[in-house]
Order: sequence, then structure tokens, then C-alpha cells
Amino acid sequence: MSSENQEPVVARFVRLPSIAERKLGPDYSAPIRLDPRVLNQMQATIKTLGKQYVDTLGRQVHELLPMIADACSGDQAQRSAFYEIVHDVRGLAGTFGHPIVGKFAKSLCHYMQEHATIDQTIVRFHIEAMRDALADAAADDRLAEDTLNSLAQLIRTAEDARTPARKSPVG
Amino acid sequence: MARNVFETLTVLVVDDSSHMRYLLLGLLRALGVGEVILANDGDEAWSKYILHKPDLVITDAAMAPGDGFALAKRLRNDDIATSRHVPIIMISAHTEISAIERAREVGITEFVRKPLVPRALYERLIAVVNRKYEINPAALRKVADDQPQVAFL
Repeated sequence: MSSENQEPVVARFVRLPSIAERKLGPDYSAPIRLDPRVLNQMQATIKTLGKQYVDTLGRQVHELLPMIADACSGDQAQRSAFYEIVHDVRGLAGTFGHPIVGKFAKSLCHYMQEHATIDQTIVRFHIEAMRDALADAAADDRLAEDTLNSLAQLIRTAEDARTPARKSPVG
Repeated sequence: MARNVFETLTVLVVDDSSHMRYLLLGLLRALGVGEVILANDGDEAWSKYILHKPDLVITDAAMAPGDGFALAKRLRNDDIATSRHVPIIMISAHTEISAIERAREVGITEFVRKPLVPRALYERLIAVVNRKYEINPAALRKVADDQPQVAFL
């Protein structure tokens, strides 16, 4: 059969509107772009809320210290309550200008996720590092990295202590 | 003066941290968002979604009861026509590839990492309002299969 006998294909083009086009209707002129003035307003909001949050953050970190023993006792409810606060700090401290506190909280969250049994000393060192970083706003990244490395080393040492020593091959 | 598209939006914010909820409320207000609905967890978000039919959902990943992944899955699979294609922005401290892949699988539109940076949130919101597909991609595929002569631009 020759192609001349085929029915011509009728194509229908459907143009999908974006949310901006649909919402603005006739007022829509072009895709939305970042407005530096709006971004400044958002950043000012973070700054204002950050001033209020610093008190909450301090309170949360101090609340954690007396909870350590119970959180490490194997009681799942106590552990969950403790983790919830650390997770909250992890998510918010960095946003509100305390990235080092956030890094320690992240390390502790990771440790708690990876280990069914958690060591009191390791947990305490994390919380104390968070408390110290909060007290010393001038704490630099290098010091924080050194502390994080020390905490990671502490976790590895505790893991090695729990793992039965490998038998050396005998001839 | 050009109208601000964000003024026309209703946004549902879902987070179990009250600080995060109020931070997002503050940021969205700074952006000029018309209406912000707050929910504590995935279950509350679902009932508020039904009630308010927001234009956009911003959700935390880790929450109980009903985390952000479960909420997204529920929205994408339900029979409510709007929920299948409502844009969902997920905010999470878990940025491993597996978490991002899981977010994509359940139909998350955009992913923002914690700590939250205003610029990152603003850029994702712009991407969402400029997005062309308001129709569920699965529905688009079905139309394309059923009517091959239809092309979407």
C-alpha cells in the first residue's frame, strides 16, 4: 500500500500551564524569578527567629544531660524521647546559626541509628561538645572537626572492644 | 504592579518540630504566601489536606505517626484528583542517595536538605510554581498511550 492512501495524521497540541500561569491568569507575564528583596526578608526572618531559638537550643541541650543514663539503659521509650530532642537540634541548630552544634547532633543521631546499644560515655561526650559549642559562639570549624574526629575514634574503639578479637592464623 | 504568585497559594506545612513549623511559617509569610496550614504529622496532614486542598505540601521526612514518605505515598495513591499531582517538597536531614531515591519513588517533587537555607527553599518554591506539569505524570503517560496524536507542550 502506498503512503499516499494513508489517512493524514491529525496532531493535537495541548499546552500545560504552570501553577504560576494558572494562578495569575491574565496577570502572568513570565516565569517567576528569584527576587533578592524577598530573599533578604526571608533571611531577616531567620535572624529574628534565631534570636528566640538560641534560648530553646540551650534549654534542649541542658535537658539532655540528665536524660543520658536513662536513654542508655535500654529503655526504648527513654531512648526515643532523647533521640527526638537530638534530632530536633540536628535539624534546627545549623539553620539558626549554630552549625557546629548541629554537626555534633548529627554525629550523635548517626551513632544512635547505627547502634542498638549505646554507650553513656560516647553520648555524654557528644552532649558536652554541643553544650561547649553553644557556650563558645566563637568556636571554629577546625576545633569542631578535631572534636568530631575524636568522637568518631571513640565510637570505633568502643566497637572494637565489643567485637571478639580475631584469632591469628596458626601454621 | 505585578501580582505575587505566592499570595495566591495555600501551603500545607507538615513537621513534628514546632520550631521547624514556625520557622517555615515565618519564611512563607516573608515570601507573601496567602495561607499557611500547619500539621504535626502525616496523619493530621492528611485530614487537613482533605479539608483545605492546598496548592503545595511541604513536609518533613522523619515524623511519627505517619512520616513524610507515607504521606506522599498516600497523596499520590488516593482517589482525590488534586492529591495525585499536588507538588510536594520534602525537607530532610537525611540526604543519603537512598533517601533521595526513596523520595523520588513515592512522588516527591523537590527535596531540600537540612539545615534549611532560605535561598534553597525559595529556589525550590520557584521551581514548583514554574513547573509545567499540573497533571500527574502517570496520567500524562496514559493519555499519550491512549491518544498518540496528542502532544503535551
